[in-house]
Amino acid sequence: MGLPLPVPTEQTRLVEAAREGDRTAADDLSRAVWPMVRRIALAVTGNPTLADDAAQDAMLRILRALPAFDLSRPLGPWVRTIARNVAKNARDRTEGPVEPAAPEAVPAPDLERRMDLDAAARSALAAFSELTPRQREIIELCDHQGLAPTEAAAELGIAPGTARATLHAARAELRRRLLADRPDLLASLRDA
Amino acid sequence: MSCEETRRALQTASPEEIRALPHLAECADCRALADALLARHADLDRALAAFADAREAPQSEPIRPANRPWRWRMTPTSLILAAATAATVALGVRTAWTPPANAPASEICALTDALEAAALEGRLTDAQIACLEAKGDGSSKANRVLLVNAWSADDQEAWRAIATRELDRERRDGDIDVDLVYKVALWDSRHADWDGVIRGVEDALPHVGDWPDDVREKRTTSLYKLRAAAGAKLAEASDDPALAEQAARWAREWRERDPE
Repeated sequence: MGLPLPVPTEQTRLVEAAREGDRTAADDLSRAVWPMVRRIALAVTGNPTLADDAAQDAMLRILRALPAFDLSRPLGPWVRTIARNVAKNARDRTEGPVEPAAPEAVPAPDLERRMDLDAAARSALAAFSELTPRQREIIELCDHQGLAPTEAAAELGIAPGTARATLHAARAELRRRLLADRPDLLASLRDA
Repeated sequence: MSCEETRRALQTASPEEIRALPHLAECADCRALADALLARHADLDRALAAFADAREAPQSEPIRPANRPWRWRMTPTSLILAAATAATVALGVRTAWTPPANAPASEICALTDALEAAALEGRLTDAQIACLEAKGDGSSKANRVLLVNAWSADDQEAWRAIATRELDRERRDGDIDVDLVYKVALWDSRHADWDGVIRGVEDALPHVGDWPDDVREKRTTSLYKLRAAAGAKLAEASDDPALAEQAARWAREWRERDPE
């Protein structure tokens, strides 16, 4: 279920070419990692409008930092780390806590048009946005980007046991919120 | 597998694991619950994919090859200045204050804003310093005020002695301020035990999960930063290309965690 990234040899070629100043290679690389950057930004901020800006900023920083990237290492964790840090800074710069996404309130109109979500998808996104940042991140990494909990733990700088516990708690919380409009199903889930 | 076990799994299993639950083939109620959950997950997947695809990737700028691989390296002097700045910010900039000469002994070094303001100017009296020194072995705050005062008064010997004492206190409490280790290690690079610093970092990294959530990330990043700085110092003093490569790798690992 991981997001598509260039295979390692292609990734190496693109990075090397981009470092040499090949704009086409840099653009190809940018397009390849762009969805991952946006999703990490959204997971960290929980706010599509904030994540929209943070992703742009993160992507430019990634490209600027490319000369420092170690080609012997995988690209994904490096990209995610930069995206995560930029998004965290964006989140921390906002005054006061970021309001949870409500279906009618987010995203900003321009982004809303581009996303073109139906009601069910909006509602699911609102449920996701109401989780804590750590819960969103661990779900994004493990359930959407295909990392094992131990890999996510290493990336987030937490113990593997903590990552597993957080993932389970996050899934349970997300499902309670996803089923909020179905009290009958929610009750049978809670009864377990 | 029973209904109860299945529903417990439905709370925490991954969507793939849910699809593979054998009980769902034989229980309509559990299957309905699983189907509803999976449908909601699919809604979320659509929303996240729509967000990911909502804008084009930004156009790249011309990339300049790195011609300064040690861009992050700072001199000990600049690090000390940074340490002092950080301490100043931590304590806050307040108006100057002169302690009354006839203050009662119990109030000589009460940790007030006014005392901190005097420390920021390096104007603590001998009596106040002695009073804080007496507290320092058990008080991180007292040590921090003394650190600021020593820096502001340009008393380098005192600064190092206080920082070392504070670290000893923290070691006893089992809660080391890695930033302070970093600053002390870089205070006098001629005598620093860089190998020991790196060994210490390597020993500490497997245990960062023991730190509380609210400080773990900052401290872990500090560990990476400390190892990078120590590695650079070793590489500077050596002609070994392998050491230089290792130092560069540590630097990259630090920058990946802390790209700012």
